[in-house]
Amino acid sequence: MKTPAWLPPALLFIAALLQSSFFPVLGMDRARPELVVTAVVIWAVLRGMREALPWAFIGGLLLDLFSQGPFGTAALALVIVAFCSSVGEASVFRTNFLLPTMIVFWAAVFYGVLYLFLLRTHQYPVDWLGTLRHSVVPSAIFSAACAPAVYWLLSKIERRTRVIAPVEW
Amino acid sequence: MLIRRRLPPVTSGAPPSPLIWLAIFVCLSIAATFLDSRHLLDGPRSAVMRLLGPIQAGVSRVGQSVNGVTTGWSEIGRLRTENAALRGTVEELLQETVNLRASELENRELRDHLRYSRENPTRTLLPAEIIGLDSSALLGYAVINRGGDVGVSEGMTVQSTAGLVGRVVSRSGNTSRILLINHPSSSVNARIQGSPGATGQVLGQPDGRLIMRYIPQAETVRVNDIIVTSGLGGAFPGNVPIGRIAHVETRDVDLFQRAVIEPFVNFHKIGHIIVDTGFIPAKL
Repeated sequence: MKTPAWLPPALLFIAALLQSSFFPVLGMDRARPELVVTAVVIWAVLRGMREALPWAFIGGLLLDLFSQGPFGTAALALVIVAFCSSVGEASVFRTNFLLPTMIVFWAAVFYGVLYLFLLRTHQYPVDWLGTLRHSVVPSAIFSAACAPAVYWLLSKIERRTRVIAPVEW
Repeated sequence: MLIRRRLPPVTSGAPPSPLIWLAIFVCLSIAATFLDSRHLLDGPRSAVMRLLGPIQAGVSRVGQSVNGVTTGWSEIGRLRTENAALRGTVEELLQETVNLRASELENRELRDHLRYSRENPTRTLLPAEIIGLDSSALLGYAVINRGGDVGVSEGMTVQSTAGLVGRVVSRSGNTSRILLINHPSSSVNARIQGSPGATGQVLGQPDGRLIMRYIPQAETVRVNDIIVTSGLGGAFPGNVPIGRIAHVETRDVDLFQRAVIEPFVNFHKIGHIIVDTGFIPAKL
């Protein structure tokens, strides 16, 4: 069964909405779980790059929509992160939640660095050390903490929408 | 024989290389950035945000509610600790206030004593402190912390800076028992200040009041007249203030007038007193 077309945007929309409107009012103003990054990375691990790239692009655009930064920046960063994360697809440990958790942590750090770099190319002032210490790394830790739950949810969806083809021997 | 095997999801036709997909999405992202830098996406972006705004506001409100609940729970412990600390502080401050007030009263009384002693240089005055006061109206005694060791003896007058308190009725080495003038068994010869002929007896009442009896009918007695000891009988020295007339009872059929006296001394708040050790009562 193919993944329904509405599912990625819907899930990513909810994730982006939580990330932009729910977590900040809980006091997570500088560091918060990067749910969109987490979902994209885990989907890349579960389904590979071919399905993760559209997720990354859509998720990035949603993040751009809710943010005040230049439009397309988060999309570009997330597409690159999804591409790099999809190396976990080949891993034999992908059914274990530990691998996605570790990948999510490093992917979130990479996404943060990449996003800051892209902002800098748009002439935005960037305090590298302070942002890394107070925002990027704590956000990556939050994201890694959320990864098992997101992995559990997405792996269920993945199992239901897995393509099973009959093979004749 | 058919077995089921997991296959990667595939699209119909020959799938493009992953790198081509990557290139496509990177190009789309860069295009979006370029269009945004030219402000070509401002309109669609604001239109979408106008639609999403209420949803965002709703999610934010839910977040605020959740935050309120979690903050409330997490603050309970802190508030309890803070409350306990504040209670401790309040108790300490209360204790400090009580001590300061007591010191202030003591200071005021001692200053009054000093002033009184200076105003009465002919008298030998011994300051003392009341260390026990009978709470019932049946036993109107007070105990002071001076006794025979420092020259206190029976019959000596005890007064405060406000007025007459009583007299010593018994003593030990370091304490003495005082009969207060508002006790029913107390009787003090007194007069109305300014009227030499208007004499009487000030008697204590069971309810703690003072009544002046045996005031001759011929004398004019007014409310607020000052009552002092007359010195008659030799039990008390003369001219020690007792109180002020609060009410006068005059009846034509009676031989004498009667007056209710408001004492100058507040018998419920006596702290420091003075024993007039220079006055020896006459034994008639």
